[in-house]
Amino acid sequence: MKRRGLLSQKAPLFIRHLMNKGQVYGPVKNKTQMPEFAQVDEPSRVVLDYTTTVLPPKRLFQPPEETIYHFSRKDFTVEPAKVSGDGLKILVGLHNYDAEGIACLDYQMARGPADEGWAARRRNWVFVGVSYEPDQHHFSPSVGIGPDHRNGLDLFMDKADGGYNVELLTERGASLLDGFGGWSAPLPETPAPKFHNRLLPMPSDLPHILARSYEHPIWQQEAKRCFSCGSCTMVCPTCYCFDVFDELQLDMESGEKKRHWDSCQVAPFTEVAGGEIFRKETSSRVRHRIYRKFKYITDHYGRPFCIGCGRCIRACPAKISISEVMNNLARKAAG
Amino acid sequence: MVVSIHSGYVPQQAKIVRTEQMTAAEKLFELQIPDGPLGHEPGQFVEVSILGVGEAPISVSSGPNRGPNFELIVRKAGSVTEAMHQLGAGAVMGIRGPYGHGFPMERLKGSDLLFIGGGIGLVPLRSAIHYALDHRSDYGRVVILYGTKNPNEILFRREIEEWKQRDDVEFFMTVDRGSPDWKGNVGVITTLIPPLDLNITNTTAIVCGPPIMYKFVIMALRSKRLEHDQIYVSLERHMKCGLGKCGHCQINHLYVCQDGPVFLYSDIQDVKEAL
Ligand SMILES: Cc1cc2nc3c(=O)[nH]c(=O)nc-3n(C[C@H](O)[C@H](O)[C@H](O)COP(=O)(O)OP(=O)(O)OC[C@H]3O[C@@H](n4cnc5c(N)ncnc54)[C@H](O)[C@@H]3O)c2cc1C
Ligand code: SF4
Ligand code: SF4
Ligand code: FES
Repeated sequence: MKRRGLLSQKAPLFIRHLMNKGQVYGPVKNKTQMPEFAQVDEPSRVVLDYTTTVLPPKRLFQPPEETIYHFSRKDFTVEPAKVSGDGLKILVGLHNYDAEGIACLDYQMARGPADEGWAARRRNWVFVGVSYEPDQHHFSPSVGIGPDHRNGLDLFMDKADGGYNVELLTERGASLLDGFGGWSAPLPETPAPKFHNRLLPMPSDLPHILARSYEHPIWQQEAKRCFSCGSCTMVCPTCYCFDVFDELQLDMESGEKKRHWDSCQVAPFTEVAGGEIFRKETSSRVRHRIYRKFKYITDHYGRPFCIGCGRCIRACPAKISISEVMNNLARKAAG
Repeated sequence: MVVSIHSGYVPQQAKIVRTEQMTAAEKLFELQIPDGPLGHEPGQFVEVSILGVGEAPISVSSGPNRGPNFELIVRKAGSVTEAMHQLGAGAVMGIRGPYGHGFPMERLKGSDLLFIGGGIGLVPLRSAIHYALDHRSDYGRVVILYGTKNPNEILFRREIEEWKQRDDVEFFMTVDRGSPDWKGNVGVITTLIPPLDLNITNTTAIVCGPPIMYKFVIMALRSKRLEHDQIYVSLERHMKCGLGKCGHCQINHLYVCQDGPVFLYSDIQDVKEAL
């Protein structure tokens, strides 16, 4: 694999170079502590050294809220929403697990009737990864996404002594480098990052553990703490549920059909006319989320549908931890 | 270049040709679409949209061989269904679909059919009943069990009279609570099952009703020695997209809008959230 050295002080120049090749998106400085994925207007605002973002990059392909169509009630006209398909888009500063999160949704959004919004927004992207220092919550290596994982990435900026070693992973990625003169010789490598959180079982054992844990008391125990606030699903890169609703303008004639992210952790999610709520107990909702990550989709995807980013753990006001739940189930299953 | 997205959500216009108030809460709509017929299988549903209010999944209640139009029977349950009730002949509503897997009428050829409908559950069953009656010689006996809470909630009164007149249909009904002028059976729908004289090896039961009903009906069918793979159920769930994406209709790993709403009971008996 080809590598080129890039000194830290040249990184903004590199991003400036990419901005000449296409629209650049990446983790940009935010009012909050963590950067958020957004379009880059100024290279200096890109944060390449970050723990993680609150919201996953999924928001670029499935926005938290989007228009499905515009309508007019008067003559019953319906005009589907449009997205710009123009030009190359470059996502810089992507952690390798987030690339896998996008791959998970590429898979799920294409199943059955494909999601046209996802498909249209996913066209023409180049992904530039970057290495990261895990905090106490990341457990990506336990779901098969170790520090050397490069799936779905076109270029990778591997943190090295004094800067980065930029790895050329695909033709598409390599072609973006044409005309950039800021390279150095490859820089001395730094030791591989240490992870502080992990899953005890092998990824392939996770669905089997859940297969025998449906009635386990752990769901009730966790439910006692859960506020059903939905934060865990809002921040998850592989959650995709949404609500659909109509928004009428003041003229009461025109409006939009919209959709926005929704959460299976709130009770009304499954309520039907007549008042029946199919996942009424908090424990059944806590369980549902975790089965979606390690069993239901995993059974046909062949890999965990959780990328070990730890976002749900960081976001949870009740300190419910998906890794701890799985480890407790594994221990109990073994003992 | 700009591309349109979400064409799968765009409804087509369906014109209301006729309406009929069936009960205080339920209204029938006969609908016509420009390129009709709808092309549905019995048991499938459509997403009805009232622009500015929202969408609701509604079963197609008429059989596919009943001309270019199709019928929906809508119970007033909230904002969308109430807005539908405001509409009369000549008005337009949005329709997308049909969606989901319906009753496998082809595969059931030669079988005796036992329909069990509780309340508004008769609405989706009716499309399969129509189909069986329109292809009468393809099927064995047609037995219909129907139960409602009280006599005021009985749907399809005229049609039921026709079914009763036919000697190739066996129709039985009951109400949970009678009224002074009610002369029929009183009791829950499961009370209609034990007296039936069924040809067990060649009977398929097709069940739809309120969530609470399934367990008891299946127990009663089991006492009749019907096997799990001789029972079809149609399930209702909250639905927002009909396209297997929004997640609202999930029961464990299944999406009712795509994998259902009709399921063979043996396929879902171990799916914990199903019944
Ligand atoms: C496959 C299927 C077939 C159906 N067939 C028929 C039918 O033939 N006739 C009929 O009258 N009804 C049918 N229903 C039920 C009907 O969809 C609901 O009554 C309707 O969606 C309620 O919408 P609303 O806007 O009037 O009520 P709302 O004001 O939205 O809410 C009233 C109640 O209905 C629940 N609800 C809201 N949206 C949905 C939804 N999309 N699906 C289910 N429940 C919901 C709410 O949680 C609330 O409890 C069917 C449902 C399904 C899933
Ligand atoms: S973030 Fe925590 S408290 Fe909130 S719904 Fe998720 S698990 Fe429950
Ligand atoms: S379940 Fe939690 S750790 Fe797994 S991908 Fe979602 S947010 Fe990340
Ligand atoms: S209704 Fe949206 S997934 Fe089934």
